[in-house]
Amino acid sequence: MLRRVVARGSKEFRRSNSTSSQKVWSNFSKRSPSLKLSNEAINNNLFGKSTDGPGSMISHSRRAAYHSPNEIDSTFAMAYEILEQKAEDLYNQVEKLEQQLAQTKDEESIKQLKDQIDTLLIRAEIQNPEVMYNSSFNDPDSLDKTQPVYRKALEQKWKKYDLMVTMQRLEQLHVIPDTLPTLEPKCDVKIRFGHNSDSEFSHWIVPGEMLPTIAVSQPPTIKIQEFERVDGKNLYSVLLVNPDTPDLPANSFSTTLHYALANVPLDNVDNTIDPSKLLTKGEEYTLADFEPLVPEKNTPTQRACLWVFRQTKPLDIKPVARKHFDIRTFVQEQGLIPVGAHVWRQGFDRSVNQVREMYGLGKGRVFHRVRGIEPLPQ
Amino acid sequence: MFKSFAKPQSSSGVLTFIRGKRISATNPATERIVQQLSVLAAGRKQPKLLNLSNEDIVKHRTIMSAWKLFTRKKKRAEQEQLNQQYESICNAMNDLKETSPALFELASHKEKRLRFPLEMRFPTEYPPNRPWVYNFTGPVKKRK
Repeated sequence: MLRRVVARGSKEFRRSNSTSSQKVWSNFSKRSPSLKLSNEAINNNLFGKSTDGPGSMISHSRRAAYHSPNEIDSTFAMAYEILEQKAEDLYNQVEKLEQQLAQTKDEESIKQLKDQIDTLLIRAEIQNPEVMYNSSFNDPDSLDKTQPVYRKALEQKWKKYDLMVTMQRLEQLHVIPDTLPTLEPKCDVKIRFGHNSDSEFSHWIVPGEMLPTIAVSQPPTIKIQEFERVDGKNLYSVLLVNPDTPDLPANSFSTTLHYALANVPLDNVDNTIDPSKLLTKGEEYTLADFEPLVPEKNTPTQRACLWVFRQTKPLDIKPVARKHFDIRTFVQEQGLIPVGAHVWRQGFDRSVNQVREMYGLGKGRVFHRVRGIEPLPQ
Repeated sequence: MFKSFAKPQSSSGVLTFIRGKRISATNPATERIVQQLSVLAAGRKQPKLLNLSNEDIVKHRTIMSAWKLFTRKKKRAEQEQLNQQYESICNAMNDLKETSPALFELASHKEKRLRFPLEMRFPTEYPPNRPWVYNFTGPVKKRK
């Protein structure tokens, strides 16, 4: 303890002392305040302004027992200076590009310039300790998605885990290629069924989860997180299909449409399709109302495949036939670009009859336990 | 459980292998340490994981990236200098070729068979481990 105090006394690193010539990472006149580390205690410890131990440790006894590595503060101060110098150079480049941007009129070159500025901004901020702390230890929902650096951090996190889980489930459950041939994932798609009061089903759904019918009886909240910069608003459409509907005449299965939304304007920050949005503007967006999957008794497990598309043009809102829905033709005709997908599974359970009644679907059939051979499946 | 292989014993200069003979550690102190380690679980023998606070993890990452930047800059400067040196060698040789072709021939003459002469040494930052070779004899010159 004594050692620590002595070491701090001589080589104390005070960032706020250099206010006369404010350097780039402590200057918030042009940069967004969301790049700041808002927690005072953590900030003080990071920049060596306090001696009460790490602010991220809430327990007093743990904080007292904790010892930082020797000389980490003085080394950090030197490292900070080096990296800040590099960031300053990058910001100077950004300034030049912004001057160029103000003079250009051509849309293509404007987009290129903006992309260049974004990559420079990411490089200038990704090593900023405050940004690093925010993106690695703070709640991802609280990050400011207008900042390219935070979007980059979120994308890296998504690619490390969530994307891999999603793609694995889509391939193992044969959502690809049973519904659409393939997917080039561009954005993070998350869903949850907010009407559930049971904590077991009210969380964000992990792709491939088996869910009881009552837990999916209301339309889901869909979160579509774009990582690329969205200028203005993009239009998105969402399709929920079930490729496992029994097709008795063919002794096979067919695809049914359960939910279709189109022309939903979203951007980096406003990225959720939730009940409040649907209540106010639902009619403008809805091609087909939500109708939950109601697997009948003794049918195999059914997959609810939710696809998210970027639109190339606004769609006409007109009713679509649900039965024998050909998703591939629909996507091709409307010029939709698949950017994300999600899947959950359902089987027959005791809540099915209740949900059938809620939606006026009549009584369900009961199949034989063993699938027949008449007519022979093609 | 497993007997360690006996070391080759060299008596009177002939190596003989004895298969299956157990060797005890020669030093009793070493034996004790071996015995003590054998009763410890593997997990206990691992070095302890560094348990850093969030702030210190961020500081550590910052330091590492600054160090990477610093070394990269240094390497780039060194490479730049080497490039310049090579270029100036090329320029000098080109000059020599124009001014005196005979000298150029001599300077750029490649000696065959003779590879890596001992007296030629790549310039390094530190002296060699053996600074002086006492029994050095120069390259044998053929009689003409």
